[in-house]
Amino acid sequence: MSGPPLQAYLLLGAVLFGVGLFGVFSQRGAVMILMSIEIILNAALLNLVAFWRFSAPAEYGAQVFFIVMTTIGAIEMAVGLAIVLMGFRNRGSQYVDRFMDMRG
Amino acid sequence: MPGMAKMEMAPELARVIPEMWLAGLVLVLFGMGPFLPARRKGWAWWLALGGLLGAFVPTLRMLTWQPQLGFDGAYAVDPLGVFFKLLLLATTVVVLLASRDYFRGMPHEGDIPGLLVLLAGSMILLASSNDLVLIALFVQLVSITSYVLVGVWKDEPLANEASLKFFLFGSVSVTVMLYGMSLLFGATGTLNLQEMARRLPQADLSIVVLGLALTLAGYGFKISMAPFHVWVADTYQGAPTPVTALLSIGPKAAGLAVLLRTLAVAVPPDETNWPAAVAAMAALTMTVGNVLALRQTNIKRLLAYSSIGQAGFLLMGVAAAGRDELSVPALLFYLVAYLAMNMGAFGVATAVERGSGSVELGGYDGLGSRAPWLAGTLTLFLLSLAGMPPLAGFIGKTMLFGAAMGAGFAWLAAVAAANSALSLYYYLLPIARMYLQPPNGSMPFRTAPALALAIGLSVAATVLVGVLPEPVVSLARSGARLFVG
Repeated sequence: MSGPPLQAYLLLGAVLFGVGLFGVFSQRGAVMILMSIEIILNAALLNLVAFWRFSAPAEYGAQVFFIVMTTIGAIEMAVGLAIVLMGFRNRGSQYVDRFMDMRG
Repeated sequence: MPGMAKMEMAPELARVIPEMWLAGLVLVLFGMGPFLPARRKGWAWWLALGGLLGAFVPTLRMLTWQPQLGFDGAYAVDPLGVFFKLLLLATTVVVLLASRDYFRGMPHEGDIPGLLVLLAGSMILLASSNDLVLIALFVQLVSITSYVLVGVWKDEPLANEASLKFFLFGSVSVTVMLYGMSLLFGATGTLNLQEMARRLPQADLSIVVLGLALTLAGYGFKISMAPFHVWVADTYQGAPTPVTALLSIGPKAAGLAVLLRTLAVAVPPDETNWPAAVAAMAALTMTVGNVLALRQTNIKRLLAYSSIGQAGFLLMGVAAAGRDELSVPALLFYLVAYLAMNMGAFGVATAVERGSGSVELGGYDGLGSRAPWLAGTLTLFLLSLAGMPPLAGFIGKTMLFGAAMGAGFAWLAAVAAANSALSLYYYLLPIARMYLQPPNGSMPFRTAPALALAIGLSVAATVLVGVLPEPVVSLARSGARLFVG
């Protein structure tokens, strides 16, 4: 098998996971948080495909997993953007610190 | 066994008749509900009610079936799954009853029944999933439907804030769960839970533990397990009250089912020592929920933190099940009791919100003289949640404490007992206000018939399950069998 070894893909996946998680906790804009969630999703899917290719090529369930999760990720983002858009209409802002009416 | 022979000949699709029925119902409701004329929106509600009641028929027939797998081992048809089908169908029916007049004349009235049935169907599918692909898919489906239901009143700023917080927290947890699942797949090379159990002993333990811990983020989000509980109070407060009632029971039950199934089937308890880890989470969850509930002044937030505390008690059952299989009936029994008493409490909260327009505890002042029936039933539900005999919550707590002791978690039972005592304070607080404070209004309440029926059913269940626990105990015993493989 030519090309980069499994470890390279896993390392990239771990870096993407870290970047995404950092983004989720550090960003204030809801759209940027959505993008960070997408980055974590990419990390998970990259891991999945790399593991399938290198350690269990006979397990086609992993491909199904990838396709299902890509699809449902798109649906999730559609709902998420709709929620952010409604928030923007109600409050004129997409920054999450404007959504602080409930506390305690 | 005649039932078994018949079943083996039945085509695979015959094992998912309730699920297919609900899916068809959702398609009809989504095609119909939004397009009905304003005066006819009730038709969608009636159709959803009839359809959900109809789904009980094929489900009850499955009670006698032997545990088995379908669809290439991806989907379990076993008594545990059937038990959760019945529990979740019952939950959705009662929520549908409570929601009839709450949503009448409001925006998206025709869409709500379809969304509720979709949520019911996806929770039912989640509770029986036996493969990481299906678990991830249905966790997402339950989550996405819940986000929409919470934010269904688009112009309501609080509902909007609730659904945004719910969405951001939920999708981060679920995506982290997917990363964990990819690690579990990498370590074992399979996505099927039975196959995973066979391959785990040879797998790299550190990757397995990391994968499991990340997977727990998604499950914990559904169950509202600490530290994944931070969304609960705000979401429960901002969501329409009947939706809050459904969220506080349904997804928690489905999450517990899938947690129990994953851990009991796929992960040998000895190597990873997961029962101790779940026990620690249970102790943390109940303590966090009960302590934060102490200073709440809004009934929905109070019940939100109370539901976190109750989730801790339920997790105690999962932890005990890892060491002693006889603990599963205690968990299932408490879920039935929790359904009755928590649904009832939210039902009364819905009625008071409709009557006085208030969800603050101040709205409950003097309710004992303004609306004696509502006050009396709320007292009953709160006492049952606190674990007072002879109500359902008492028997359930006794069984759970016994299970924890039997599994060697005496310290956890002690923490749970301390938490029970602590919870008495905030459960008695609304009761004291209802009977000791002067009323702040003299308007009598009129509770809508469907909502009154929902509250009545909850009262009957809370009292009957407490006084005559035997039928539910035997149902929980027969439901405690899952396909281990």
